[in-house]
Amino acid sequence: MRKKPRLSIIVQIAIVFVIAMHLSIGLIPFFGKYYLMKRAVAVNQDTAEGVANLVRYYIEPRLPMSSLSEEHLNQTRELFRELCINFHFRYVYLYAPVEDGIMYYIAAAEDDHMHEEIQKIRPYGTVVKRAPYQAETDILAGEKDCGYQFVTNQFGRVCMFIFPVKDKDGNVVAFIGIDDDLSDVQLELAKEQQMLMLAVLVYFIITHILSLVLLRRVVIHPIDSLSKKMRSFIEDKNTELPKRSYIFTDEVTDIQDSFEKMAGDISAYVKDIEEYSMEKAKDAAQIDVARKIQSDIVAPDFNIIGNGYNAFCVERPARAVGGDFYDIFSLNDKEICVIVGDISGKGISAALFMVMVKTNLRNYVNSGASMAEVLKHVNGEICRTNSQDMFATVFLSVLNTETGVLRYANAGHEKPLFLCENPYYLEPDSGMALGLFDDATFVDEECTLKDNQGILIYTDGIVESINTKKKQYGMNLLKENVKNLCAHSAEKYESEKVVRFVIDSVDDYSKDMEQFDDITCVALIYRDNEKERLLLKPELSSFDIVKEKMIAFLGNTEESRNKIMACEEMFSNIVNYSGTDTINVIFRLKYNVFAVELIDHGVPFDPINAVIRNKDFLELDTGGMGIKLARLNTKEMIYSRTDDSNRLLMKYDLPKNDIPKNDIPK
Amino acid sequence: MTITKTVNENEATLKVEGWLDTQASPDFHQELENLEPEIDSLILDFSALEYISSAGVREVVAAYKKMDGALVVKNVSSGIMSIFKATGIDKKVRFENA
Repeated sequence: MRKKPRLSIIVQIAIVFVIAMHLSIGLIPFFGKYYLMKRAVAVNQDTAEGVANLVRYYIEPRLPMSSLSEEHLNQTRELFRELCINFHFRYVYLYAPVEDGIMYYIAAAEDDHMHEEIQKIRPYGTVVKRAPYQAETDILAGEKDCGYQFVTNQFGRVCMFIFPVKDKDGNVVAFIGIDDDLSDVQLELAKEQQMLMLAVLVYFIITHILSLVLLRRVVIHPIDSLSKKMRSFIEDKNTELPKRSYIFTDEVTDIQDSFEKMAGDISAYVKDIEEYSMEKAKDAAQIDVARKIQSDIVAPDFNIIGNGYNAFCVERPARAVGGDFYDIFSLNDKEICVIVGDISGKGISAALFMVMVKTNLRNYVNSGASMAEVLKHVNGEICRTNSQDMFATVFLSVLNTETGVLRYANAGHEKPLFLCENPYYLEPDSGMALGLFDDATFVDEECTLKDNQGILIYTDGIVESINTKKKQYGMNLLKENVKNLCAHSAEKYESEKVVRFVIDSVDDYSKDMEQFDDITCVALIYRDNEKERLLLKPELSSFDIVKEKMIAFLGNTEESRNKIMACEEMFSNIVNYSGTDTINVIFRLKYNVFAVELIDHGVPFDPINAVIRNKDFLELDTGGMGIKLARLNTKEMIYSRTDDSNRLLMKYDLPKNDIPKNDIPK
Repeated sequence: MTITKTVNENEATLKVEGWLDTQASPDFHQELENLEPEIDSLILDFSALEYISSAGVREVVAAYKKMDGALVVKNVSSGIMSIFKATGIDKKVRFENA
């Protein structure tokens, strides 16, 4: 916007003042003239009337005019002349109205020269054509007794007083004209005008100065300070306006009051808005932070392919911050933990609760406690600190990637789907959602995954997705869909493939519907890395074939023979003491580790934790060295008892220059 | 496993070749039983022994007891020696390397 020139109020008022003064001074002569003329007429009219009465007194008894002798006329003229001189009129004359003009009878002038002149140009009987004056008409009509007329002619500017001369019957037969010289009057007028103008000027100046002072005090100054206040208010939103005092209230104080109220209101609004904006910004920032934290903690998807397993997860919140979570992490080099949970509620509070649950779970799973113990402990922790009465369903599982044993415990979560050729739902103890009751108990359960089997853990967002007919996706459809995927796929299960397939099928099912709940789906597939499997009779001779296989894997060196010895010790142990009817032997090759697993259905025996009594040398011929030798000649031995079976895994390092290339992960 | 027996007066030498494993140890045990009564000193030549299990170690202890300590184990490879050491046999039995 173009900046407009600034003209302060004082300057504007001064300009108005100058214009008003000029106008006034210009108008004073205009109006003053008539006023002063009337005054002049009023003053001289009495004198003129006196003169006229004298004339009338002299003339009227001698009427009619035609009867006047020359002598009388001269006497009368002399009388007129004397009246002129004595009463200071320029002309005194007698005339009568005639048709189209007037006829002069007698005329006299004050000035000698003019008197002689007038006798020449206005002798007795001179007729001058002119229209009758208004005063003459009024007198003839009987409306007035006298009148006057301003006349400007070759005799100068005069005020002509007109008086009637009447006969005995009262008829106007002639007029007395008395000319008063206006030049004198004008001089007087000019003098008076000067004085008047001076007075007016002084008046104007004084009143203007006074009014300016008043204006400054009452209007300019308050407005100036008001505008300063406004500016400072705009600049620093200073609501603390200096207090002002005034005796009277007026429009300006009204404005000040209004402004102060308005400023106060605006400040309050601005403060409110600022607080609100800050709140909003804080909220938005919190949501951002929460989302960031959550996506850091629960990545939207996660793919992990490890030694003996592969896992894939998708977590898709319905709102910015969701209540579902999952966690996948290695407990150690052979166990992987998979957790899927669903927090009651959504939003930031659910996310924070989720972080607490997840952190607690992860921390405690690492302690080595059983799944049920972990859930119990975490439940206790949550119940202790859960002021919001939130709760979380959790499915907690740990897969031993060497044995395929999946240990799990459930805390009120959806039943997971067991992935195999003909998928079915696991039926874990339902447990109790975490955070509800501090005395909730949980059940340790486990199953053994075979190569290429797995588990699909999901949240209710999957099975409760609805289509346009408000029908839920449901557990049956999930199972059937996965089964069909399995039937159409000759390849092995891939966790990513399964999860993406499930998510896509849910999306397809609930298309045109808004996702109303978080969706989380995790697949964990066990990869046995099994190279060979033997089913043997529990006889010592059965070990020959094991020996051959081991030589095939490890070579026939002094070092490898000690490894075979370790296996033979455990094998013969089973043969001699377990009472099993079969022995399963599984060979696995992972990275640079060769593993032999011995599985028997005999009496439970844990060679890892068995107490070995140190025998006296001479008793050694009765045995008792086998387990010790086995331990010494393996890299590691792992025992588990599942499905009524003893599972003993014996791990060996492969000879260093003999690592099979196709088993090195990409 | 093959066992070659040579007798020199009262001293017998058993040369064990191959694998002295759990299955073979009864054979070894039988060989000990079959030793003549006049034999009072036994030498076990393990130079060609490839493998020994705890059952084999047990038989070495049995031989030691049978000979009342008059047992020398010869030419044990380092791999198999580690097994004897692990079981503590080396503290009683005399090992000799030619």
